[in-house]
Amino acid sequence: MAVRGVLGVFKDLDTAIAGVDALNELGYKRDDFEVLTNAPYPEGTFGEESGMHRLGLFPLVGAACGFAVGLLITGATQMAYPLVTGGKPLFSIPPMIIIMYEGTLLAAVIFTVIGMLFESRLPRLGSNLWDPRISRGYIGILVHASEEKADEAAATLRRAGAEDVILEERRVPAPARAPQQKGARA
Amino acid sequence: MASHDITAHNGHRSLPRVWDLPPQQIVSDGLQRIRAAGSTYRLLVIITAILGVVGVVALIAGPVLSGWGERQPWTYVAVTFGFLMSTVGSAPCVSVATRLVRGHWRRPVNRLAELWAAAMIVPLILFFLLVALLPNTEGRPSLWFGWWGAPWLWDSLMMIALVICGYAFLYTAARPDMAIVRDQVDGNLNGRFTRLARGFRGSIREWRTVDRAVAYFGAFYVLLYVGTMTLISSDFILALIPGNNSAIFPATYTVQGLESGIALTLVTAGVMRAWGGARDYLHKEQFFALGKLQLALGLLWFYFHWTEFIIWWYGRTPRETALLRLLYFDTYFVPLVVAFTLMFLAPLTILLWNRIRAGVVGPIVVGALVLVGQVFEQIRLYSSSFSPNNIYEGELTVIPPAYVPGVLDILILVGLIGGAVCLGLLALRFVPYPSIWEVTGGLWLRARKPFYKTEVVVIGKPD
Repeated sequence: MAVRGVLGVFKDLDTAIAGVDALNELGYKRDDFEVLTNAPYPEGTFGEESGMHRLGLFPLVGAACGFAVGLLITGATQMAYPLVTGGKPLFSIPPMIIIMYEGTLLAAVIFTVIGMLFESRLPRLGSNLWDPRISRGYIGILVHASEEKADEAAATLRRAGAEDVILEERRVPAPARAPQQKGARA
Repeated sequence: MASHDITAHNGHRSLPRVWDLPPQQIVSDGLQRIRAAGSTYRLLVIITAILGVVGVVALIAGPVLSGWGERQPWTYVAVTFGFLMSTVGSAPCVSVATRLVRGHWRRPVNRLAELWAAAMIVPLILFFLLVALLPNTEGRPSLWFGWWGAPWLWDSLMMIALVICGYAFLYTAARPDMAIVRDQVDGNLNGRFTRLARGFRGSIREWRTVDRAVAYFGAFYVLLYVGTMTLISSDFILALIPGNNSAIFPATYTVQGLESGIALTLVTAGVMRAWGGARDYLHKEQFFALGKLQLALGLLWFYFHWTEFIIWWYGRTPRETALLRLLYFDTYFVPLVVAFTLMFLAPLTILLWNRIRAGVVGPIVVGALVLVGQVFEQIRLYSSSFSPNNIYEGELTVIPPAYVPGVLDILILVGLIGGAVCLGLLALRFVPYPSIWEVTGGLWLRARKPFYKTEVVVIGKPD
């Protein structure tokens, strides 16, 4: 089924919330539309649920890998070169700590960077419609509507108080590039 | 931008103007420095760039040409490195700390502290020059237990991780603002910010990613900073002074770094308020809060130094007496007194007074004094550690004379610090100030309410 983007541009929070409510009443689920803002609103402002985020996994996995590598390097070195130093046991934890600490943090940072790139560059499945007014404080509601329901979604947004409604003409494929206003006024 | 910073007077009450700014005004203020650089800004960039070039020339003409055979010619390179690590290196930690406590006053301050991460390339380069001076750890005291590649490999890894994390922290926190700039500028600037913003649109999912990424990078930065300062203080100072096995010194060095990070943030905020058009954003509230932190860290500076000193003083073994003579009483007595006065006495005696601490000028002056004190503290530490000839001895048998800096040394110090400041200034052309998304995000959480015969600002804390 072809999906078409419909972007409603709202001047204030009250009308934007009305737009979200109107879409909910029309049967749209949370995954069917996005709210675009130039600053973060408190979680739940638009009725969205707080969910788990994948980004947390990256530093966790990175830290575990880095720790394991640090442990392996230091542990294996001590076992491979069994030199008793200062009467300490052959396998001592204190000398290993700094290198394990470094390994853990370095890998955690690198994995977080990778996670950030991954999260930012994921291909967007929906529309890439955008309006520069959103950067000036307007609120955008981007609906991923089916071809048949696009006009209805546009009308709903307009009724809810959208100052402008933009209908997607064609898909904008490049997620890494700057989103641009590409569409036709409804 | 309005020039006054107080909008409401109800008897003795005054409310910061930042709470009344419309979001469009914040966007417009953030774009101001990106769109056009003022004449004062350009002059500052030119002066600091010239200083930077002078510093590089002095570095090449002095230490680099003298080679890596002797440490002493590199003393002031190490002083500069130590100073930059203690200031531009620690300033992002201030941003992290204020984020952790979720104080709203921090919103206009965070960006100023994070911006200094942009200058971390200077201490990184100096680090690579200096680490080549360190000998193998075999046969001398160090914390490396003879690990392969120590100290060069492990110190370098830590330093690289810190710098990567600093840049990632700065970029992640600035990316939403870069997206705003992208949409509001044309021509070359648009192209630059389109590349920098990388398609950021401000969906709820993207905001969650930003929120978490900033928190992760910030937390890692602090952890890395503590680790890096521990390694630096151990390998470049402790291990190079025979008999100096102070267990508390790495913590002392880190704490005084954090004190200078706050000082740098205060001075930067003062400059931005006075000449950077940020009067609406940097109110007494910010200076009062930072002033309290500055006072606390100043007291900690004394506590840590006293703890180290009293053990040596009471022990009075020949090893400890030699260290006391080198670091405290004889050789570097003057830098110690200056550092003690500016890093402890000044914050204590000035910021002790509530009226001064609650003002704007007092905390800024103290911040500037602490930065000067930090220079002298670094001179004391690195001149001591780069002077002894035989670092394989168990204790100092001959106390080296004080290292007197030459012209090249002073040029290296002033020039390279100027170069780092230049990078910080240039970063302002890429990273908007104030942080548009953070200051605007704060506006959603405040409401002005009448409270009996006065008016108060009610601030929400959503989590």
